[in-house]
Amino acid sequence: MASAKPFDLRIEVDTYVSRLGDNFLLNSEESNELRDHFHCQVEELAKLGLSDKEAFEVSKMRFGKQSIVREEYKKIKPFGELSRYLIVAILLLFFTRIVINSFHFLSSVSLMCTLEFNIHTALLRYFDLGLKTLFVAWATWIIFRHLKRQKLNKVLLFSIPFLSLFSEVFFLTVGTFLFERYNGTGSGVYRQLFDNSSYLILCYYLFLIVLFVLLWRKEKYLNYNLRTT
Amino acid sequence: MQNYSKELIAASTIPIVLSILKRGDNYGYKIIKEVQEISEGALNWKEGSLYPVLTKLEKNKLISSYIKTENGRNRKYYSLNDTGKSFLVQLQSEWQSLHEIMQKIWRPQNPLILE
Repeated sequence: MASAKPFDLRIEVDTYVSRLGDNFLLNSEESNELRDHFHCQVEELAKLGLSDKEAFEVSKMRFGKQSIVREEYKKIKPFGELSRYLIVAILLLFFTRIVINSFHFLSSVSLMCTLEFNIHTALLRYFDLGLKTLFVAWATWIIFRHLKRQKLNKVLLFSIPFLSLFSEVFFLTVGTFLFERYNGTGSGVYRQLFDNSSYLILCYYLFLIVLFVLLWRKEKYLNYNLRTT
Repeated sequence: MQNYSKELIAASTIPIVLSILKRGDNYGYKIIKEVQEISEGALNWKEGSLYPVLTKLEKNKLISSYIKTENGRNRKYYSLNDTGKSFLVQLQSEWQSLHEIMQKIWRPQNPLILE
């Protein structure tokens, strides 16, 4: 029989506060302040003999409805969410450039590998597709790993514009060099690789659209849930 | 125990918070506890509503904040600055004046009182 998951106060408080400050409503200082509030109260109630779980339930009740607190915060910073959405959109734009540049660079790498290791030209397309798919899988895994923690790593976020700039410069120098060196002997196979990139970029855009719709629905669901909590 | 209306609680929150901070630097949870203690439990805020108020006061530069590490946690302390002190004096005067007016109105001999 599966044992019940032990109550982890830190995780529970983090989840509750993350939900309250969803969509970047709260900055990290405000979130930390609310976490401290719950931990203080749970510690105090624990002294009266309540378990962490019971104390946290009482704390939540005393805290009040999340929807009301959210509304109060929204009144103070009406553009808070909007500006944060804008930041996300700009970061996504930078990220898209990283993906496109990486695909172009990988095309050059595929071309180089094919010619250096004598891979048959017929296999080039599949080799290239495999390489790019592996890159997409790796990038997706990195992103979801961070999302799962429900914490947006600031270092990772701030590195996106710089990585984007790096990818532009890197592709221009190394990518172009590889392409010019190997494409002459490749007799136009680069077109196939370009097609691979185009398909994958199309998939990436479709993924973004699906993600956008899902987040939109999640926002609506959360709003409904918060109103009825 | 006295039950205060939501409107009255909302209106009194800022002067209460500023008054608590006038006594010394303090953090969110402790402010709530002090208010409960002073009011002997009569002023029972929904605790979550204090934090947006603190953010608002800080944004309006009536209070300032700093982080202090206590029990391994980073705790946000608030302190009343000079602008906040002047604002509190103004609020105190308004509340005193309002209180006096209400007292006059509620005097039994006052003809304004409807039986």
